[in-house]
Amino acid sequence: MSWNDRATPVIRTHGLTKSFGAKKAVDNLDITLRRGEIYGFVGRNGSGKTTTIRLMLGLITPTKGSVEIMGEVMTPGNVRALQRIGCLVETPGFYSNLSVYDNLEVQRNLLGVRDVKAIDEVIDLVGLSAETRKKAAILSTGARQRLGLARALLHRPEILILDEPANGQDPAGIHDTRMLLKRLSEERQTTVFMSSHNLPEVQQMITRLGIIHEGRLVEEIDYEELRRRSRVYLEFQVSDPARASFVLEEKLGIRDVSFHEEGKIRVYEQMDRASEITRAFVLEDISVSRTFVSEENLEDHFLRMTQDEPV
Amino acid sequence: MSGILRAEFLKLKGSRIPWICSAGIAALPCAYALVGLASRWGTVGWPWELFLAWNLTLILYIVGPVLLGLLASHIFAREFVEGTASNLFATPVNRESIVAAKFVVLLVWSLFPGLLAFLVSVPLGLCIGLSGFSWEVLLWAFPRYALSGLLMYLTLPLVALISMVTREYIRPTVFTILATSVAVIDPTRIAIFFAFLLGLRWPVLGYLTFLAQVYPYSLPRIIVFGTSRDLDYFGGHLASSAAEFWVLLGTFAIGVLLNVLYLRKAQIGK
Repeated sequence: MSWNDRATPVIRTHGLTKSFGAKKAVDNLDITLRRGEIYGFVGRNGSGKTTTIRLMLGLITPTKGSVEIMGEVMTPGNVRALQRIGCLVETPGFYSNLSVYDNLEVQRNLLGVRDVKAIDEVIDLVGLSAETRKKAAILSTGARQRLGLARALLHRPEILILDEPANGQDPAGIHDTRMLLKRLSEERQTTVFMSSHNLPEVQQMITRLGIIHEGRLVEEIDYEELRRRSRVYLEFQVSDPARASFVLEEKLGIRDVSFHEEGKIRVYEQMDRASEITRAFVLEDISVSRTFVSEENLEDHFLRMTQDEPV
Repeated sequence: MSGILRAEFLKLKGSRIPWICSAGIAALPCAYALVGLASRWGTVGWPWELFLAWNLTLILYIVGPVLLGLLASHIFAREFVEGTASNLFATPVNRESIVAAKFVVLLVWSLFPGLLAFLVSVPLGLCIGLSGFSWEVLLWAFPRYALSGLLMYLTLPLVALISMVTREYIRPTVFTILATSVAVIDPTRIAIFFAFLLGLRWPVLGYLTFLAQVYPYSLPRIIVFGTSRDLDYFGGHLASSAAEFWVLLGTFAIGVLLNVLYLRKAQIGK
């Protein structure tokens, strides 16, 4: 099995379950991540995101099930598995008496990274150059997140497991983090598993989305579906989708279209031509049983999925 | 391992705790000298032997264990208190190596205060004009001051364990104060008191009093002075009985083992 192959699973959880007393914090979780993927793990506060991350890092042991990191079953202190991973867990802690640079120097020594320049490299990557000599104790929350990210990147890991990396960052910081993770995924094929409770924050960078609610993975959405659901569209339910497609493309010049079960067609462009499209269908003897403008975007969908009581 | 050691030493850079502990121990001769001066002992020929021996007694019995306990809890519990444990234990480093490196750092910082106290005591003694100076007295005192840190260090793994299990500073510090208080009061008397209170008779009482004699927190002083009797400083030789040293070493070994076993299985986080 080659770990360079984009199809090879890099992180895999099998029926991962963690109970604290009677409460199941994580319940039968099956997730597979492939090389270079950016997986957004989204859920409300207390939904089980951090517990999942702790399980993935071997910080806590599962009640049932397992986590595999590049074929290695994760157990507490499994050095071989941890060598592949850079992580950021919750609000990252630092040695408050040490400077930004010294905190990274501690990590460099722990990791056995010989190249001293690796510290300057990650400081540049996360944009902390101006704060190198500052004590960790006086850093802002956003700067602490960036320092946590720098620490996670120090040994150029193949996998990044990040718990709410955008927490406490200002919009510019969130943007920079987004760009950095995209770059790492594209240039180094780094696999990123990141949790968040804020969907719009992660929506623009992830290639797959998992929604967790009360410890259970309630939905997984792939890249295409993610893009589709993130956009507003016009939906028609028609009697003859093939002819409708012809009408849309050839007669109206509308090409950004997708087809779904029960004759549903979604149009993603020229939304102001709804009545013209309906008229064109009718003229071609295509009956239209339903027309509407999508009102639910991905965020609404997420909120609905994670509501305790169905609306 | 050298990288992990460097990291552990670096973690204390700029930290006040080790210096406070060292200064606290080294300041003892100054405080004692001031008390002596105030009560005019110095003017009636306060002897060097008494000054050096009392300093060492106070270091071994009260100040040393408490301050080194504080340092041990700082080194072991701070990862949890400052929230660095999640990162540390998700770093590809054996947990056993982390424990070992922390104990090495603690050893170095435990040896330092005793030596510092000696270095402070000698010029101070000369300044306040103690009587009966001789190189023999200094040669008697120096190995004992140097050894004091090592002997107190051997009692620290239990404090380290409590620090990691409770993940805070207060409970290990309270434990250290209690353990030290028992040593000061006399563990044998306490054992007999509780045995009678609980209605225990021979042979349980016998076992208890035997155990009290090898109470780890009393042993550093017994080893250094070669006697358990107060004010009998020159009556014995250094480590007159190897048994006490082996008991202390055993306490240390069991303590370190418990630390390793705990950390191997420790759940980091909720």
